[in-house]
Amino acid sequence: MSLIKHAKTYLLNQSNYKHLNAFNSLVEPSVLLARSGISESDRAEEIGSNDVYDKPIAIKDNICTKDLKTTASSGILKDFVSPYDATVVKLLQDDGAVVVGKTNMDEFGMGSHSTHSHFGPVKLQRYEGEEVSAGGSSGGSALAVATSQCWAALGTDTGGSVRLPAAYTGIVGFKPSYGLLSRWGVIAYANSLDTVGILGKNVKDVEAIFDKLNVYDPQDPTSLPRSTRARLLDPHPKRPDSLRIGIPLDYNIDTLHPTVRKSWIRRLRELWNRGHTLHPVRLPTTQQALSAYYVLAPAEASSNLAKYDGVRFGSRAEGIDGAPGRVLFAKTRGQGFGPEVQRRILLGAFSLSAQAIDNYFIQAQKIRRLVQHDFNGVFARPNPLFDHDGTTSSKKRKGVDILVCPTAPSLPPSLSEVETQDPIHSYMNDVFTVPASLAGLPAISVPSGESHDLPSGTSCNSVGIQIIGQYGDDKLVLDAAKNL
Amino acid sequence: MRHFTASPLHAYPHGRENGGIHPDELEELFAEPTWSVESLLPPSTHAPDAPQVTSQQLHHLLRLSALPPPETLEQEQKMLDTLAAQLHFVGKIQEVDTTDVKPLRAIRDETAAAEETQTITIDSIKGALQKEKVIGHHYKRIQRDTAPVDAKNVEDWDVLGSAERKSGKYFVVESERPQE
Repeated sequence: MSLIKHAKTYLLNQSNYKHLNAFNSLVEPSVLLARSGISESDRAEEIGSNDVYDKPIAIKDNICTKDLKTTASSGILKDFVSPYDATVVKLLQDDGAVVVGKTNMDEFGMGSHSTHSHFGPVKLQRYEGEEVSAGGSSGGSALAVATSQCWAALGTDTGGSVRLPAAYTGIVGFKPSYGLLSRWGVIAYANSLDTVGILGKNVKDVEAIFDKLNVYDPQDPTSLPRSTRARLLDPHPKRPDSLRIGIPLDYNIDTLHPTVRKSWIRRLRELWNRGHTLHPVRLPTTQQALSAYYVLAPAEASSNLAKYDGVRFGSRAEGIDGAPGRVLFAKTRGQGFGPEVQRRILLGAFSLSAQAIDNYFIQAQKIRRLVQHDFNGVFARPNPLFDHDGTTSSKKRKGVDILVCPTAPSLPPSLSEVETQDPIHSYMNDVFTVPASLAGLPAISVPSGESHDLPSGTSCNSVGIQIIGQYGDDKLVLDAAKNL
Repeated sequence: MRHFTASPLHAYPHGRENGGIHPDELEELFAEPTWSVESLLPPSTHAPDAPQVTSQQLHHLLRLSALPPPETLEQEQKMLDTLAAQLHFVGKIQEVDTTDVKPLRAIRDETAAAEETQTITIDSIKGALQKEKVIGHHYKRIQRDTAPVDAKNVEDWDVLGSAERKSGKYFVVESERPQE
């Protein structure tokens, strides 16, 4: 498939689906059309085996681009233009990909429905007149892919922000192991959890992008060093045909939607039919993981967002900045940040305050360690981030290769329901995605493959099945997803 | 290395030599949910089980966050209620005994080999040391090589380029004169 054939379709969809609010900004159509004017013979030379050459890719609006504004869907950055491109954007452009636009999101990534945006909510519409959540925070990226306004998209995933919208919109969303993809030029929300993620129509496209971006970046201090990357390479590249599949029983919560549970069982049965084996496992700290996440992420956010004062960059409130007895930048921050961002900053300031830091922030970091222990306890492959003596690995041969579970407990709620909900109600949607984020594990959401009926009489697929692997087992997770 | 030779000990018609359960068992396995995520939500009938944050503490936290104070008492109460609900939600972490658990601060390579490669040794700063020379006989002191360093790639940066308000080479911030 080449741009010349598809540029017009993407452009048409961009105008047809404008009301769904997937994009904060788009490149001029002429950019796409000009690229499609390059002759096929010139093109053939460049393409070779390059899978992303000429492909229109959407970029979440918290990833810096110098040609388009980077707003993170926040009022405080509504006119911000970055002086440089993020490493992930540069890598894709160097390989000939075309950035088509910047996608709408929850402000700074804080939300699960892409409704907390300065530019209005992202809307998923599966039939005429419907308005449901596209998931968040990378809802714009997911919707842009699902409605063929681009070929694939980059998002960011801090606690499920790529996987949840992928599930709701019926596409593939991949969060790689923490530290593999560069965060340089990606606006930090909770830096110890933030990862760049990839959204596409199928696993093959997602993997093509992952392969381009999976390189060490000296500009990102959390980029996994080359020496560690070398160790991650599978020492036994030939995998067994039969995988040991873990079923995490702690993901069977009482509010799991019956449709989701049914899809989960059906997928497990299919895997078994193909010769894989099924093994129930327990990950007990799952029950505290969500709470730990909502301590850690807001705490890191309160620190990461301290730099937004409207002075050196970003938008300022009108008039005099300070008032006697007030913090100089409070007015700008009060006007520039949306309510959910302010709520999380405040919660973060509390967990980091002298009276609470031990019982909240440090305790949550300890829970995070226990979540990592849980995963290490069930996977056959030892975690490559730690030293292992020979005895542990032979003892653990009984472990599983991957875990298979739902991506979200629910189906997409209507936007009116989201609006009237208590803000902490939507935190519960992240219950299945947060544990892998806390442990930094690779996780992918793929459509369940089963359509369910809608009130309109039509049907759709808004259930995602999640595959989680041991740290560094990104390729195994992608391969397993291809077979699902 | 795993082996997949057939075994006569199959528990199920399509049984797997390396164990596991049969898909027909899944319904029963999932019949009893393990827990309720709704248990994290604050109760609707009584006050959330969370530490009390006072009005004074709220104002202090807002100052620390460089956010404006509430304009009305209703707004203040709403902020306190939200914080109480959030603290109830995250309070579940207190249930676990974490004695002797090492906090996980960042996902990074924690092997001894990685620690070694990242340790800063005299070798790592050799380049900088070579630019120094000792001068003087009675009062030995260090003189740095003053040859200009090429730092164009980091200094060629328009610091004021993204500022909305500036004057000459300065950022502008307007503050009201504090009351005498």
